[in-house]
Amino acid sequence: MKPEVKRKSQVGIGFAILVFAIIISYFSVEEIDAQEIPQYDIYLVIDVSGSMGTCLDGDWISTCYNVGVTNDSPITFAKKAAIEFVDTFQLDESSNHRIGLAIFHGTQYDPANPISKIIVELDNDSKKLKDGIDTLYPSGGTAMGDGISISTQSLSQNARPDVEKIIVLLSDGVSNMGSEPRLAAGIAKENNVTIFSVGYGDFADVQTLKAVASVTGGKYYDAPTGKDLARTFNEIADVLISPVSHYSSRILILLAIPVLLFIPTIERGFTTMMEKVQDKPVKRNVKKSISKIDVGGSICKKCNHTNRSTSKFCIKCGDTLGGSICKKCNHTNRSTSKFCIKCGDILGGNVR
Amino acid sequence: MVNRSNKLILSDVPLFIGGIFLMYLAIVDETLFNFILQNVHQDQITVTIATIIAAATPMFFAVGFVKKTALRRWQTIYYYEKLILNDVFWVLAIILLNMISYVIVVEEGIHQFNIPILAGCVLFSIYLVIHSFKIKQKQFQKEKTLFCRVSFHYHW
Repeated sequence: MKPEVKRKSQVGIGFAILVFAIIISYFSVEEIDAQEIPQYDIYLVIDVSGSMGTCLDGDWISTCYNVGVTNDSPITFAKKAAIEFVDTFQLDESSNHRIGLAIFHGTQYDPANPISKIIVELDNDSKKLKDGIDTLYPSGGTAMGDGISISTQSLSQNARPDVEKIIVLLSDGVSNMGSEPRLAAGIAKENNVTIFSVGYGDFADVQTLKAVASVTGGKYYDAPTGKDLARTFNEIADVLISPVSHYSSRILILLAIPVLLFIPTIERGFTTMMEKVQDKPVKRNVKKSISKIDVGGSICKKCNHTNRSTSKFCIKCGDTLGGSICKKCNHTNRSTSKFCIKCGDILGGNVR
Repeated sequence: MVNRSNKLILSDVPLFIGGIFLMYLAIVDETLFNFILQNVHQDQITVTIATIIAAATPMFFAVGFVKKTALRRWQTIYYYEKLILNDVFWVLAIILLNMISYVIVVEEGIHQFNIPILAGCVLFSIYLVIHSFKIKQKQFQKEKTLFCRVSFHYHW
């Protein structure tokens, strides 16, 4: 086979392997039936720091003594989004999912003791949850780490054994009191809790929220405005109740790449292996071929042994094959010799 | 003279480790996978495409670096062999590593679990840049010496 054709055929085989791996990978991504959707125990962990309200007597940059709630306050949008989120799961007594509510904030008078608490324990009672959401009121600082810790603790103690543990974390600012959010997320990961974080507004600590989600294998969502918040919460609900499984097999792809790239080596190894397997028949063929050579081989003039046609000396007596015989002493010399090496007589001629 | 033995020499060890690191990225890391799925609607096709890109791309480069260092005698397909001898291979590998670093820093956020991956990507891409410059410098020196010799002979 011409090298150019061989190269192209190798590329063709490589592509065939890759396409095969892709097809298998495609079918390994399972579409889940609605009944097979995993069960969830979810905590809505909502930031109720002062910035979630509206400053009624100044602005946040200088001083704000009076934090209140208006229709445009972030907490109002957060409440609406949380209620829509609860509605998406259609909680009732027969529901597979349970949702709880936790809050985190702190007081400027006692920053060492941030306030993070469970408002509603894990339950499938949507009315209780909505009532809990209605009671939220903003004040104080942001203790994001404590919010994660307290809900992780509750999930690890109260969650059902075979359900997925989820935290949906909403924050609009930088964590300024309590434990470090990334460390809290590390503990959440150890307890198999997945965090979906939502950064609300322009002052959200995006890097921390992203890290917190990423550590636990969750996802970060950005909600710049109040309207985006409801959409984001719906998106999270969609991801959780998504009909496509997140599992996909990458093993086949991982194997396919080295195999298709090392095709020449594999081919050579395979050929060598086949030759080793067919070792005995090869030897028989060799014997046959020698006997064939013997038919047309050179016959030694001294001992009459048949040698190979390419041999220069007899394999039996060691005499020179096809050489010139001295008429004087009968010694066999080389065919190219002009004088006998034994007696010095002139060979092949009647010169004398 | 080109080294054709399978024996790993000391100067090739960083490249070999880089190749193993890329294999680790292909097998374990889900940075690229998550990044793709975060930006597209999730269905069977997009999940498949994300899996292929996240697993195949680092593996493609990993094979190249391991072949260049520890498996020199193992022949790969002709076009891949040509590619790994070309500068494009280095450039593409650096782009991939920087892309993963970018996704970690900007999209995912740095945390205790992805710091080793980020460090590996940054260090290996820096090494690749330095190494490729060294190779270029050596080639330039060789060409310069050859040119001097030729011009010397021509002169005499």
